[in-house]
Amino acid sequence: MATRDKRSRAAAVPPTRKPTTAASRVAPQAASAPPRASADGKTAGLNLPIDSHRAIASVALVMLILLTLLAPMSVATPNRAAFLTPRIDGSGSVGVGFNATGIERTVFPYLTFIERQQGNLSSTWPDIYGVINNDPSSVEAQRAIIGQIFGSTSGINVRVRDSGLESNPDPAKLSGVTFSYQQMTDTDTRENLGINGLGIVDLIHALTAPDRQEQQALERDAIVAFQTAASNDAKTWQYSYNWAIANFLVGNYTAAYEGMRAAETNTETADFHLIPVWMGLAALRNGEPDEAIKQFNRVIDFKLAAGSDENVRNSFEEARGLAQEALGDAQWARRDPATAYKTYQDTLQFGRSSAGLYRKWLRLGLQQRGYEQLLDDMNMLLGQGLATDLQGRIHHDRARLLSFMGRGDAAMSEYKQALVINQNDPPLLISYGQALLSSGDYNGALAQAEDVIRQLGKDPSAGDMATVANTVITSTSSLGLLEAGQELLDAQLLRAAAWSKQNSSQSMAAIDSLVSNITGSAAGQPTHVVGLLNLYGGNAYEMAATAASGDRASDLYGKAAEVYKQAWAALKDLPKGASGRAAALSSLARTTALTKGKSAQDGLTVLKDGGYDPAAISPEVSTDSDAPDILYAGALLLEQAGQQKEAVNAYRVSGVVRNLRDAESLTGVGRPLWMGNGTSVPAEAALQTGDAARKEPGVNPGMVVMRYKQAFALDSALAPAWNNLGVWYAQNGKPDVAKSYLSLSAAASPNYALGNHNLATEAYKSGIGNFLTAEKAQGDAIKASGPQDLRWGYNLRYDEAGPLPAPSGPQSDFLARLAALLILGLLLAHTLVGNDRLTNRMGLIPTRGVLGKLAGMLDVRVREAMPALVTPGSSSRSLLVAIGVPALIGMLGLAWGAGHGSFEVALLFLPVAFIVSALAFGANELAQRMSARRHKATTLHHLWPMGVLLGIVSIPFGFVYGWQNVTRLQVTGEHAQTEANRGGTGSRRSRTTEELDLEQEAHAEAIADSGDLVTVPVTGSLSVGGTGSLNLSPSARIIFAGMIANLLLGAVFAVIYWLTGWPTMRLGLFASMLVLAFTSVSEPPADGWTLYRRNAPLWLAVFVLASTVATLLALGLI
Amino acid sequence: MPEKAIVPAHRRLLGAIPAICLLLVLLPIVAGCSSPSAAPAAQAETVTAAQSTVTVLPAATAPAAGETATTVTEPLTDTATVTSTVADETPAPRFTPTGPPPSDPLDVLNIFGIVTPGNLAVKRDILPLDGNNPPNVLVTIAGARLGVSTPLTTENTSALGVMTYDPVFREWNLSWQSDPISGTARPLAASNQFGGTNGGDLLRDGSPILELRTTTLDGMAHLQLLRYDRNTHKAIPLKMVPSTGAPEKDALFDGELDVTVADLDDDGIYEVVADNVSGVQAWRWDGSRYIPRETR
Repeated sequence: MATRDKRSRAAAVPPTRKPTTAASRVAPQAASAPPRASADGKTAGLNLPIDSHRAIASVALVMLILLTLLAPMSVATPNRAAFLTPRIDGSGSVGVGFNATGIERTVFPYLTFIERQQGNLSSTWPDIYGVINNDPSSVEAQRAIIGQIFGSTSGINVRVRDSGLESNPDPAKLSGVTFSYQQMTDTDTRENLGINGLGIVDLIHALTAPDRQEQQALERDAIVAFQTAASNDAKTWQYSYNWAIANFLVGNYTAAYEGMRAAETNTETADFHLIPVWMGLAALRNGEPDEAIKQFNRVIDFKLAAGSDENVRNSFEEARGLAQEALGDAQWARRDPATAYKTYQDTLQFGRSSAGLYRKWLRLGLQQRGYEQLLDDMNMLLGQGLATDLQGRIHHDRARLLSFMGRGDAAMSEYKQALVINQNDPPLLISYGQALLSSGDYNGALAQAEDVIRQLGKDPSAGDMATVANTVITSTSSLGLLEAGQELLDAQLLRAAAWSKQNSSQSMAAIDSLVSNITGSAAGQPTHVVGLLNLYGGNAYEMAATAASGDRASDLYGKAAEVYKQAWAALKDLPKGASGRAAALSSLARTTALTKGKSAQDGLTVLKDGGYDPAAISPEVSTDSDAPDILYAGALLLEQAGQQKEAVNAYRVSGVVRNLRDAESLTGVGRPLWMGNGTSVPAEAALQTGDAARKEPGVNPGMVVMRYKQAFALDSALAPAWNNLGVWYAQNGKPDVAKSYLSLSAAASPNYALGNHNLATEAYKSGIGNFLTAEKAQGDAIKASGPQDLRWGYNLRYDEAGPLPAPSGPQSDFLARLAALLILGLLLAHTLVGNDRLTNRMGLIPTRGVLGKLAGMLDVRVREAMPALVTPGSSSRSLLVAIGVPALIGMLGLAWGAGHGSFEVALLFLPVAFIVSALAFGANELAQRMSARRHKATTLHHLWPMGVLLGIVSIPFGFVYGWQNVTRLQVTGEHAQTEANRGGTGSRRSRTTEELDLEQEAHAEAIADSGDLVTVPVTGSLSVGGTGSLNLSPSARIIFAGMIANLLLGAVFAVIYWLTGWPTMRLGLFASMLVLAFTSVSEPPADGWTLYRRNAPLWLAVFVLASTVATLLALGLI
Repeated sequence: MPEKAIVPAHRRLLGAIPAICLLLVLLPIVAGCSSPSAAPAAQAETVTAAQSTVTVLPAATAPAAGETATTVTEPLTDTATVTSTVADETPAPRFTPTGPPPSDPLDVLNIFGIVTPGNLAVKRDILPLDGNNPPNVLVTIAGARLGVSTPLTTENTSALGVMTYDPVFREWNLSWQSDPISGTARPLAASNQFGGTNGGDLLRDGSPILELRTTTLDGMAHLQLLRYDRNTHKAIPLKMVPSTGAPEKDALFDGELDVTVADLDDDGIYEVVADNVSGVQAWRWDGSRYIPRETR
């Protein structure tokens, strides 16, 4: 698209360029030549074979080539083993998490200092938020609930948490309180208060009951006590209220709801807004989220009278805060997790920011698998003025999340920020040490681990874990003690892994010594403690084995198995569900299978000998709390042993039993079996059941569907369950149903890249009618985790990444870089061009590069064979051909590229590709044509054969070569003369000096275009001389108008792409940048050649910008 | 020093439980209500429907003044019962409430009226089983095992009940109740909830199908399916063939781990799926009964 403005360009060689030929030095100087440029090149600094601007451009292109070859376009899945440690009670040693809480505690295992202190049983009661921020069967939640009961020895209007009674009071104190209540029961006036108080005492005893049966009996007695008090004194609403709360505590949610309804009828409760909140919570726990939302909104929308008492106001604020947070729980249960996420986030941002709510928000984000968004949102929270403690935790959590996603450098940066806030925080030091281990700094990791051990008041040279084991088996242990125990175990495991990595005889001896110290402290301890200590010893050997490889790893697994055997021997006779029991047998089986000379079959034998044969499961597992973990471990071994059918069955039984045990974790009715209820339920286990089922040959499709439905019924935020069901339907011939479920996946998690990508795939393949749906979905995927998602191609994919965060997007290969390399190669070939020459006789003689020389040969032959194809013309037909042919070629290349290997999708993209291609080529041509008209000129157009050929070659690589036509300029009214002259035979007319210069320029351009001597007569109507801030002559402005048009078009596409992520907008941007990059090359007769000679810095900026953007687009980096 | 020996509160209460039980039995009579619970604290106050829209009234199913009522107690087991209060066949003339009726009849619903002492309301769902407005209330009831006579190790029983609103007397009555089956009932999501099925048109023939899912102490799961008849206002068990060649019986399905309904064929007709330890057993509806079907 070179233009001919018929002006002298002798002075237009770039100012820094020094012509190298004698001819150039004697070239005539036009009167209009700017002083800044001299044809003899005396102002030039360097005598290079190519101009410095071209040299800079070439360097830039070479750097882009290096970027293309070397840039990490995808992140490899990091080794996450260093970050995964079992819990001190043995949980987490089999799987990384079967419910949202388990996964959250795996990824973000540590609590802040303040959180750790809140769990102290002997300290103050937890606030009411503990009811909804903890698992209903946890001691923390139960304490929070009991704390809300009304009653004290002084009266009924005081809540337990405010009564001065501790949740784990001194036995003598509790005896005294009990005695007081007993005495009250003997008085007429205070009998019911006494009965009520005895109910409270029962519940406090139940918190530390030694077994479930005793707990159940105590809770039952408490309910009877409240019931009696309420029946005796119907006017005191607190008794009904307490009865309802006690039923809520044990899981009798319908009774709790109705009890609260009863209490609400008492006029004295008019200002007590917690009642509807409890009703909402009871409805939510019972699987009725709509009713729950209704009740929560009653409180949220309530307008408190301006003159209300402070007590009323405080009570209302407490109720409203709880309702606001619980509203998110209900939205999550009501299959609207996206709204729940926003509710949580808004509450964190603008309302009450607590660690409990923050953890729940994290849980939801992890379930949704929208990791990139979660990272961004965590960052956003940091700017919200949260408590310093929480800010430190957010930095820590971001660091861990980044580590899981393989972004080690960013993670380290976050760790350092967290360390500024909490430099001596043991949990943070452990995470930091794990990150150092993962990055290869074993000494650093070891130093951090030993620092933690010292911080915890322990001697690094010892390995005493007996205190930790005793903490585990004591039901009254505070959360702070349990957390400190976990930190100690994690520090020891970090040491074991670091020593293993060091791989010296000294470090291996240190591992043996550590295990020996851990297990050696078992002497004289109870059997349960002995078992746990051996479990920890086995954990240390296994951690070391995980960090090793080959025979050394096998040996370490063998040692681990030996220690686990001791653990199982101590724990096997304890009641099912005892801490560490399931972990001991599962770990023994797992490590046995990895021991030298052993196989998965040996691991299965271990399980069978332990009474848990995963290939022949006993019906007793339905009431066995250990069964889910052990059967899951068995399923993994069965898979390794090639017993797929048995493995699928074991996964299924494990998942079903896990859900049953979870639903029956309270002593009362409990939750609906297969429905979310605002708590953390084992949905991940159900998902794994579904995934296992679909892999079973010949499985009934309906069974797979049922399992996936159970998974998202339990947790609607579990995006992979929706996604995998959608993919399953698609693969089983039900595309419409598939699309529905994939849409629901996108609705459940708008930032779930794979789900959105699959929806886009299905929608694209459903035909043009679903194109917009596909675009939106793909746009959402791109916005969620970047355009590298496009490399997934358009085949439906199951989500098999597991519950832990992982790098976004697919892995890249060399083929993904090929298009960018080819683009850059072509641009470089167009840029490595020698300096133009200026001669006395012919004026400027352009120099061609490799492609230009090849073009010269090709153009001559095409002109001979098909002269019409390359004949310039100013007619609409000529313009149409000059735009249409490249647009058609571009359509093919761009559509193929947009299809990412899918012929079906590529076909769908043809119309879009044609439009954006035509826009890109057309904008350039039309802008120049319009600009020429403004200067009373017109344009001539013809195809450039070499460009067309390169365009065709570029099709299989998924892009379009952007310089396929040539545009020349003529002054209006002289068309006939121009036509006559186009063969180089036209006459010349003498004009002003400027016109003579133009003729010389015309010669040069004609030579550049055709290789022949061509004169292009012009009138003097074109003004001369550079004007404006860019110092461009009118002809240069005409040329530049085409570039500006492409730039503006690209900018429009870029803005819309930035806002929507739509692939069509990306395609438009790509087309615009390709046309701009290739037409702005400085090889004659491209537009860029003219601009390059008029304003080389401007040319350089435009060319490098266009080349860079085109390269990044081709690589899928933007 | 305390004057009395201190005993654990729950043990002390256990001693008082017979008295409490007696109190609970008498309470409905004294209070004019059959509710067992503490919740009815407010129930002791006599309030008419016309006066208030309180959610719990003293006698949703209790006899009105001057009426003779019979309390029918159907034993679920030796230890747990479901009690319903129905009017005599020849009731004495009843007082008809005056004044404006409640704006929402559900405001005067009191399920404690049908959940008698020793029983527990497991679930309460508002469903248009009769197709009328106001809808019915489906109540799932289980033995609460609150008394000392019901050891935790003793098997429980459960049943379903349907409550219907009487616009004349402005009260909710137990219009139907199922025979109890073994086990403690599990709450099931109603068909008007996301993913719920209870009371839904599971056989695609327009009839609501009621589900009663229980778990027995041995860990076995049981599921009873009943078809609700809008004309008779009663539900009768569906039929099933337990295994190929076995005789037909009332639809009470068993599973070693779990038993549930699911539309495996995406045809709108729900199958029954039992999770056993060695595999899955399923039954499909053949138009008149559930018969075993292949699951692979």
